[in-house]
Amino acid sequence: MTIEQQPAGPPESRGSAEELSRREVQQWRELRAQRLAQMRPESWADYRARYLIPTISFLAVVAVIVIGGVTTPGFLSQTNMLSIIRIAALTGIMGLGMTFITMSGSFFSLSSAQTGALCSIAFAAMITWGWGWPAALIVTLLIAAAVGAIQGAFVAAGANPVVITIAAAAAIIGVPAILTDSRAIIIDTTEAHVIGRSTGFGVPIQTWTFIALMVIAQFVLVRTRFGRAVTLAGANRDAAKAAGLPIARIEVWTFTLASITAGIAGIFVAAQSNRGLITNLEASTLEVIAAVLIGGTAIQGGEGSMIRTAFGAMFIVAINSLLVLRGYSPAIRTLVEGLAVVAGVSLFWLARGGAKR
Amino acid sequence: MVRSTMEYLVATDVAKSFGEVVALETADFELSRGEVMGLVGENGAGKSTFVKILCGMYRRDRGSIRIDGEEVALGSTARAERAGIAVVQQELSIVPTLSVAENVFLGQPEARAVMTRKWLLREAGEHLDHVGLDIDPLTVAGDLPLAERQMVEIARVVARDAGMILLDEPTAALPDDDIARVHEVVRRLAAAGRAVVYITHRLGEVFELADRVTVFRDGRSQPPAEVADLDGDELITRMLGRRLSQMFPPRATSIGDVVLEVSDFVTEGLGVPASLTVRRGEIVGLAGQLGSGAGELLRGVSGTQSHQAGHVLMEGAETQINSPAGALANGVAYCSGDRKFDGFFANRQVLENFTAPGLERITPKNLLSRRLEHRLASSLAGMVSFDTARLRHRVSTLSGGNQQKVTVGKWLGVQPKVLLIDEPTRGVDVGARAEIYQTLRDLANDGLAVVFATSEMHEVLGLADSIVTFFRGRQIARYDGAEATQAALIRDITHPDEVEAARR
Repeated sequence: MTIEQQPAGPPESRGSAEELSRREVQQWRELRAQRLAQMRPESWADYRARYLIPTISFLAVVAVIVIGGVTTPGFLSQTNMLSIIRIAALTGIMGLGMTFITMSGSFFSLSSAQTGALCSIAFAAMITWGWGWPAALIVTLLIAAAVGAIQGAFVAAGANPVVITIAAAAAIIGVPAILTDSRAIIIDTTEAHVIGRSTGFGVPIQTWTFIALMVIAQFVLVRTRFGRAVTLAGANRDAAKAAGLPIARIEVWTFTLASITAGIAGIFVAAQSNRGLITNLEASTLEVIAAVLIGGTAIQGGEGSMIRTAFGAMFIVAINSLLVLRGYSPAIRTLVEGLAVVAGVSLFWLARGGAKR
Repeated sequence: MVRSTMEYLVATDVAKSFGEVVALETADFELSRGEVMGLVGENGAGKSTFVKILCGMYRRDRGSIRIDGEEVALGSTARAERAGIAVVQQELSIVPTLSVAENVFLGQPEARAVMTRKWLLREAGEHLDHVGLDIDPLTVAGDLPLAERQMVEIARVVARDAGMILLDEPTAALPDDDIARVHEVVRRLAAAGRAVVYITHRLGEVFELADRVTVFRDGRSQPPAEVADLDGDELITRMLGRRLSQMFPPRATSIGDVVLEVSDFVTEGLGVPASLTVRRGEIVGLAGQLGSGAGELLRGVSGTQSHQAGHVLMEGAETQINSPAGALANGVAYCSGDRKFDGFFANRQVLENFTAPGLERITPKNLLSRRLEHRLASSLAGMVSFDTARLRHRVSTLSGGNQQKVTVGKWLGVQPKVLLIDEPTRGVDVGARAEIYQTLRDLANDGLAVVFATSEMHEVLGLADSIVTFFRGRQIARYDGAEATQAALIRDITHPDEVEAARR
């Protein structure tokens, strides 16, 4: 089959509509139908890979909400639901950046929480210096980008991403800890209320931000050259290198994006709580990783999506909220979170074909 | 040799699939005590799958295997060992830091918990005698030459007192003198009443060593044949399923200007400076065994591995190539021989594989165009005769032949001037092989310059317009494709010293 036999586009685009006989249009329609048929999943394995995993992670979220609603009074209340989508937005925003790293085959950044905390402090400090919120926002995100790019550059040079980001985490939190003497920087103006307090249709701005970022991130992942390169780099790093894909640039960019999303989360926390503090977003890194994995993005990379991560974030936060309402201690919540990751990862492994792969 | 009439091992209708890929359609096999059974077949013919079933590395999907009339399950290496099947693997499993004697008893159930020097010396000495290896058992195994390590490996297997011994290409990496020693051991084992299966790519060995031969082709076994009734042509025809001449398209009719010129090229695994000239429309075959320097030259020229010296001229202009990306930018595409490693993206769709190197062409302004992607993939699929209805399949679900078509085809998306291919038909069945040869010829006729490296002699003889032979990291000789003979090539890639002596 050659190019000519493929329908290139509607015949209208190749000449004026009047010139075309009905037969030609008919032919084009048939070819298009054929091509659509080709796009349908061909086999169970294909279906499994494309739809089964996101379906599972979506159903998991639904299951938690249904179970919570039935068993726990107050779980479905407006306040609780708002609180869930507010917190899930933070985990989710960080998860979007993390998903780029995971998709590219570099596993995770373990410095997300610290980057978030650093940015919350930087943002709070700038506001207290009398800066306007847009300037503070932009400069804070530039700092985040720089911090991520440096880590990405190390990884691109061949360093292990886990080692580098653990080391970076310590360094990132160390500097503001010294500068602030580990004390909170309090925002005592209303400058940041636009970010911290505003809502649209009753939904907090950070949730809207999360939804918008998810749409953008998903678009970048599946419809841009960068996104495809990230996916291929994760699917087979050696083959990607051989195909001439710019691996080093991919590393720098994915770590930069992850750092920026962590920075956004940090800014939201500072604006909401009116303080920049080194314990902001503490322990969120593992929660974010859990969201990515429970969403169903493959840990070795090359397969996954932003929507999956969103489901993962919803699941983690919803189950946490349910346990809080039922009065379980943080220890139990951590335990359940861990078990959920194990269960999710095992289930997805089976869904991908298990040991037969 | 004394052959008992009672068959020692009988396998009937053994089959194995991996997902949708049928690795072994059906195999029947028989083996008597005291005989050497040759096992031959092209890569991907199902031979290695069958062998792995016998040694318990794979579990068969169906079929029966009887040893001495008794059904055996096998299914794990430990069970296969208990059933009396011992294997000498292609990759040596000698531990280089242990002594020869310790290696002989490695993992041996009857070995003592504490091995004293005295005990080792006595017991190991005996086993080493069996294989005619006269060395100090306390020598560190890593210090031995390759051939002797191979003998230690055999001694270790023999020490297990197995009824059946499987040797998987034991001579693939050995020079001639050492091959003779291995053959000697094999004869001795058979004479001692063991049943020996000898897997080899060198057809000469079959005639030299085996009593009978079982040929695998396209996932099926053929009835065992008495070696005495066969000649070389007949054996090749049985392996390929057709005469050699029917496999290959006619040679190039018009060859253009020089595209790629490589001179004084030195890279890891190719110590003596090598040179290479490729013209438009020409297919150059580099013949050599694994590690001979043929594949290394391709890797070096393509920037996949670094080179220490040499000049590369593309269309007459000096070019520096230090990475695969740099090679692609200069119009040189390299298709690796290990497609699973860096040839394709197993869990991504065929479509995405085809368009990976030529990503720029389907992403105008950095945005991916589904229309362009589908168009490019379809056109590449057409060029390598890949079924476009399968563009949405994942590569991991395809057969070896189709995987190779994707692996090769994706490079055409960058419109290279030179295509370097390492082992173009490794793990590809016969039908797809003929298609790949035809594809390469069509591409050459359209003006592409093709260089391929292979260890299969009939492949260079059938396909290449000119041939360069390699042996142990150096270039040996250059031939016109139509004039080269199999004998000359085999002499070159196995013992060049004789060739040089004859020339002087």
